[in-house]
Amino acid sequence: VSRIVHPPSYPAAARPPRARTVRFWFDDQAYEGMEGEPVAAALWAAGVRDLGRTEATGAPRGLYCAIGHCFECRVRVGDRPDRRACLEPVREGLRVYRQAPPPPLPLGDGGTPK
Amino acid sequence: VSGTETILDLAVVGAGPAGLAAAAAAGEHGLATAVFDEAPVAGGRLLGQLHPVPGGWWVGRAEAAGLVAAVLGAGVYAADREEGGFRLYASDSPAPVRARHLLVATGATELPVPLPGWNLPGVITAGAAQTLANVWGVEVGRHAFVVGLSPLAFAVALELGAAGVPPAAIAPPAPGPALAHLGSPVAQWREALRLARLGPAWARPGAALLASPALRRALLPRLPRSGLPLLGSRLRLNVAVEAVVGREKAEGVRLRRLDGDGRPVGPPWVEAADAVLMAGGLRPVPDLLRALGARMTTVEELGGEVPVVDPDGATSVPGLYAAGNALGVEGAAVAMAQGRRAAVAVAARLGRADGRAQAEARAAVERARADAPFAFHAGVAEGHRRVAALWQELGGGDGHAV
Repeated sequence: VSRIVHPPSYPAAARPPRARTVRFWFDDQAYEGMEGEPVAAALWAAGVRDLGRTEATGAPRGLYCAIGHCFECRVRVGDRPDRRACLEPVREGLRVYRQAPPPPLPLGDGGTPK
Repeated sequence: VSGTETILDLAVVGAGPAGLAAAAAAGEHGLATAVFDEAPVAGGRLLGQLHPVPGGWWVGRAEAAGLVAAVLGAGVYAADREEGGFRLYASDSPAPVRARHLLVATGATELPVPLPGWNLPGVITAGAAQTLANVWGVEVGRHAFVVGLSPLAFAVALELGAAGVPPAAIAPPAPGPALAHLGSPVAQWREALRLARLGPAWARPGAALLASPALRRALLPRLPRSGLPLLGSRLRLNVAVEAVVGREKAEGVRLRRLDGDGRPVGPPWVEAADAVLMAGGLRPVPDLLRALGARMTTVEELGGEVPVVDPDGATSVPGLYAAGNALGVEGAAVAMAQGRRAAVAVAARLGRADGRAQAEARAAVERARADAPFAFHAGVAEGHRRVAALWQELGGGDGHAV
C-alpha cells in the first residue's frame, strides 16, 4: 500500500486530516482504506488500476480525472450501478464491484462497433 | 435545503474557491444561500493546491476550511428558468430547489492529451494526481511520468516534490493531429519558458537562450537526453512522449528525440513508468451556463468558451451569474474574489449591499489578478477586457431578476 509519508518540511495545514482505517470489498477481495476517502483513491493506494471494462471493446479502464468529470471509473456499489469510484466515499464493509459490460446494443449499419 | 416552499436568494453550483467564497459573502449580507456540489467534500480544487509564498506556504485546504458548510453529494444535473428565478434539480432530491439568483461556479476541466495508450488504467490527469497525492495522501507512483508543459505540470511536480514523492520526469507529448489543441513542441517550450522566472537558478538564463531559434537548434540537441534537474524531477525538453505502453495498465512510455525545431527524430525507445500524468492544461466548464441560454463567446486567453458578462459576472440571462474558472482559467485567489464579487452584486440587487461594497468587490478581483504569481494563459487580463467590450457591444443583459 502506498501512502505518502510527508517530510517534516511539508506544511502541516496541507496534510490530509486523520481518518480511521476501514475495510471494504472490491469484487471478492478485501482492502483497507481511510474512512471518507474516495474508493478510487483507496484502490490506487492498494495498487489496483483496472476498475472496469469499456463497453466498446472490453479493454480495461481506470481512474482518469478523479473529480467526476470523465465517468471512466464507473463501478457498482452495493446494488447501485454506475457510481463514480472517484466520488464514492469508503465506508466500513462497503461492497464495490467491477461492472459487467452491458450487452451490445442491437444497432444496424453505422451502429455499435462490437 | 428544505421543501419546495423555500425560495433561496442565491443558489451556488460548485463548492470550490469561487462558490465557497460567494456563499460566505452572501451569508455575511444575510442572503438565504445554498451551495451544491456533487463531491462529498467541500473545497473543490482548492483542497489539492499548495504553493510556496514568501515566509511559508499558501495552503488551499486551510483556505477552504474557513468557508461555509455546503450541500454536498448533491450534483445539480439539470436547471431551468422560471418567472423571477431558477429551478435546480439535484441528485437524491425529489423536488426542485428554487432560487431567485443562480451563481455558476463550475470551474475548469482538463484538456486531454490523447496519445496512443492514453486510456490505459494508470494514465491520469495532472489534476487527478493532485487529488490523489495532495488531498488524500496517496502516492501516485514511484516512477511517474508527466506529459505536457502546461502550468499544471509544474504545479504538480512542485507539490509532489514537496511531499517527498516527485515525478521522475516532465516531457512534452510528440506532435500529432489529435494534439493540435496543445500547440507544437515549440509552442509548448515557449509556454514552459514563460514560467521560467518561477523556476530554479538555471531556468531564467536557460529560457533566454532557448527563446532564440538559432540557439535552440544549437543547444537542444546537446542537452542530455535525461533532462535537467527541476523540483526533484527531470525536465526533459528534447524528448517527446509518443505513446503510453502496457498490456492491462500503463507500464511505460515510448519516447523520441526532438530536434531544435520540435520535430521527432531518430528511433523510438521505451522507458518504464508506473503512472502517467497528462498535463494538457485547463479550459472553463461552460455547460450549465450554455444550457440556461447565457450568451457565450470563445476567448483563447481565457482558455475557451466563457459567458459574456458584466463587471460583476452577471450573464445575459437575468439573475444568472458566473464566477471562478467558468469565467476563464486563473488561480484560486482570483476565483475567490470573483465569487465574492458576484455575491455582493446579488446582495446589492436585493438592497443588502451598497455601491461602495460593490466597487470594493470589483477592485478586489483586479488586485488578486495583479498579485497572481503567474498567469495560466498569457494575456488573461486582455481576454477579460475583450469580454467586457463584447458585453458593451451587445447591449448587456436583458435586465435582472427581481
